[in-house]
Amino acid sequence: MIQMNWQLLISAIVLGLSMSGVYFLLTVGLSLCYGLMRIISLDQFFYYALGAYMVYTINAMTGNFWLGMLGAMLSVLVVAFVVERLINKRVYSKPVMFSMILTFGVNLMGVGLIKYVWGLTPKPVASPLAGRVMILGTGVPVYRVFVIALAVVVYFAVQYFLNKTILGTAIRAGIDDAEKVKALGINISRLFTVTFLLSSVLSALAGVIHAPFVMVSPEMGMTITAFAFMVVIIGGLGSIKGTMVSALIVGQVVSLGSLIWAPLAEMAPFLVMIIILLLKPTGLYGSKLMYR
Amino acid sequence: MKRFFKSETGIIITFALLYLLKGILPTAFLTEVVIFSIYAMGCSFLIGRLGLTSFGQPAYLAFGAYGAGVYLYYFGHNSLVAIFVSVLFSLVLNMLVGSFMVRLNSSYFTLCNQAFCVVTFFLFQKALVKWTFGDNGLLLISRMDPTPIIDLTTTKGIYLFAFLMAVAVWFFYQYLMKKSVFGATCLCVKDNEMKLRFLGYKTFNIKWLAFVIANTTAGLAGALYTVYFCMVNANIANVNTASEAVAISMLGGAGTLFGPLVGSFLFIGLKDIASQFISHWEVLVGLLLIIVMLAGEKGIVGSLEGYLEKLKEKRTLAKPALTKEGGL
Amino acid sequence: MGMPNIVEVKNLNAAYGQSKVLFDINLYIKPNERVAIVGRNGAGKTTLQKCIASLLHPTGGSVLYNGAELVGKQPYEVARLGLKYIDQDKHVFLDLTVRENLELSSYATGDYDWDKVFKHFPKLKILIDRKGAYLSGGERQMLMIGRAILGDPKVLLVDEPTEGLAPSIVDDLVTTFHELSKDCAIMTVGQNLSFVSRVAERVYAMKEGRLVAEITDEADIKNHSYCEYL
Repeated sequence: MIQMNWQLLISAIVLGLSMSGVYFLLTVGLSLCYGLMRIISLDQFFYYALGAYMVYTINAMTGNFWLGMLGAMLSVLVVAFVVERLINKRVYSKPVMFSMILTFGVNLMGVGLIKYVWGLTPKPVASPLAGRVMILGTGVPVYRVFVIALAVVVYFAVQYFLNKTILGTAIRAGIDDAEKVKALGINISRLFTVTFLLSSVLSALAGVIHAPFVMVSPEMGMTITAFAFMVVIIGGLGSIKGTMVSALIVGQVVSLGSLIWAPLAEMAPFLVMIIILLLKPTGLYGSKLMYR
Repeated sequence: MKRFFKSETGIIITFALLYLLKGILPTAFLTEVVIFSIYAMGCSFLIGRLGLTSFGQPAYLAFGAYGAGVYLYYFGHNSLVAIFVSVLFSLVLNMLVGSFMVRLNSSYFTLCNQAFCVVTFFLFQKALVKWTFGDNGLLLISRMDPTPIIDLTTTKGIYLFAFLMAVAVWFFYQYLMKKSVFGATCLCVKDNEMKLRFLGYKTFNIKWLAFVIANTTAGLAGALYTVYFCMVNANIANVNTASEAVAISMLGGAGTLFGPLVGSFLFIGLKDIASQFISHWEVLVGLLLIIVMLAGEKGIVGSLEGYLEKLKEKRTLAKPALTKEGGL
Repeated sequence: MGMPNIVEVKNLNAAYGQSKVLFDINLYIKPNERVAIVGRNGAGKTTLQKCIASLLHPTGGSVLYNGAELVGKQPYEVARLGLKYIDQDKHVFLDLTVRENLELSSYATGDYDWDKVFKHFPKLKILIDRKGAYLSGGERQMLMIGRAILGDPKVLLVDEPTEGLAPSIVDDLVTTFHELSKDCAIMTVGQNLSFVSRVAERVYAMKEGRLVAEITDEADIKNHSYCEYL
């Protein structure tokens, strides 16, 4: 009996970690966008859903998940570019509320378009990596381990990009003060576009890797919104490290919480969020710099 | 002209005109507009006067709606009492929630409210399903007795009652915005909270009180919805509608007295008309939100007020120019 | 005069919303010249500089740089053309090291020759790996200027360079400005009149959004006789 519980616990932890991976990929974009452009980009959830749908479609046509992943990221890149140039860039200089409602509008439109194109019925996506690996005497699906690994790789890639490349340096400078970056002679508008596209592609990737876990449905972007927000709030807006830490926390709370009592999966992260905000009103890693 | 629309007679005449519109427009539409404008009033006050944007208004709407719904389903049969009880209920809840929410700075306030809204939706839909019946909701049609004076079980009665409530709400907010010191301190919070603190005000109290007032107004609207529809289900807290209250506030002009009314009228009207042509409401509402946001910050009433102000300025400037050479 | 003006401002007007702040500004800067604008708080000095650097959009008039119109250009384009603006709040990027601050400027201008920066400010070489947040006011000012001279600008607009700096550092700054003006024109804005008298070759007095006087006489600059205009 104890053996059984032990295995349950291990697999719940691994599931939680893979959820953390999805949350991290989805929220790192939100965090970057807020940090640099001071917008809360709710249309990331549309790119997340679109990514999932694209991988479903390409997977159904060609039978190749990895081709689907590539196709999803590319198509979201194009869509996000159009949205950014046409709509989003108009609210960069305005209070956060504007970007929030505006991008929520984009998100809603996206949901409508998805319903129009793919219909209302949820679609299954088969896991590309069948089989299990043994971790501490527990069989764990390989795909979950792959998701965790991918998230780790993305985390380090983003950190490398921000800290070691000149474009990343410019983004960090812009997070500090966008006006001064302009005065230096850097095209801040292009920097914004690059950041937005990076965020959107990561959101699409989150949708792609999340697709085999859940049924792909039009409302999937809406469903995950609350969790993504909790991750962003707990970690502190604009901090990549904070996003990672809080994604880990929320993933475990969701997974272990549902082990104890099913409704806890959705309530517990909220409680954690309230406690952390009471202790530190800017989230775990939200700095005073972000206080604008 | 401008002063007229800020005074008590302005409110009465505006609502009287709106009331008379029922000769032309369907009563159902007008009732919805009036209830929605009460709902949007709180949101508009928070945005325009306090600089706090709440993306979780449906949660506060649901407090009121469920307050009335639960009372009618389990305890009594009188709709008037139900509305009274639900306002009290949402007042208490908002006091609790507010003491947490107003500690946050504006971006976190916005996000936390949305997260709170999702949790409230979940609470009513799943966690408390035993008592709220989730998506099916509480059906109250057989549980509402006719009430004395104004019969809330008839469409005419609820329509009249909603109007009277709206006039009361407008009087209250007119006092709050134009005449009270509290309204002025709210504006100071929006402008520069730090400086107000240096002046010796405890800004937490101001924000808390404003939060409670605004969201209890939303609670009242929720109660009216329950009585109007004779039912309440979890969908009232659906986060998908969260942006509507904010968008309507912006469309009409946040922080203006008549903004919520104008905004509700246009938004619901457009939605009603256009939904006859497009079957997917998401595309439509999304498009509307984008247009409203790109149109500008002041909203319809806000720009109108600005225009009137300019006219007035021109008139007052024109006079001294006759006697003096240029401006000093 | 043989040398053409490098910057020429004609009938420049600017407003914040309804309230006008600049009224028909006309001025010029010659190559390698040190110009100062003096005036009280709120006279519009900073606004004027920001308009020249395209960080604000004027409501009318034109700014010519080497004969080319700057009004309507993006700020980054203006900076790349060789007209750099240095802010008064000495804001280096706090999260970035000195090296990264310089790298950023090099990236924007394509000029990786940091030796000229270190020639003027040897101290920056020692501080190269320190984060902006841990620099003193004087060091920040060095970094601001050092960052700006990458890309060999022809005009530097420096807003209130002496604000909040110790007198000894101000002395260094005077020397630096004299050296810098061998390569480019400098336009400073300030209220520190002793600094202005030591640096400037020509002074514009500004009052309530208008240029009220142009002082070219060296003695007048030395004894602050322009104060009567302010």
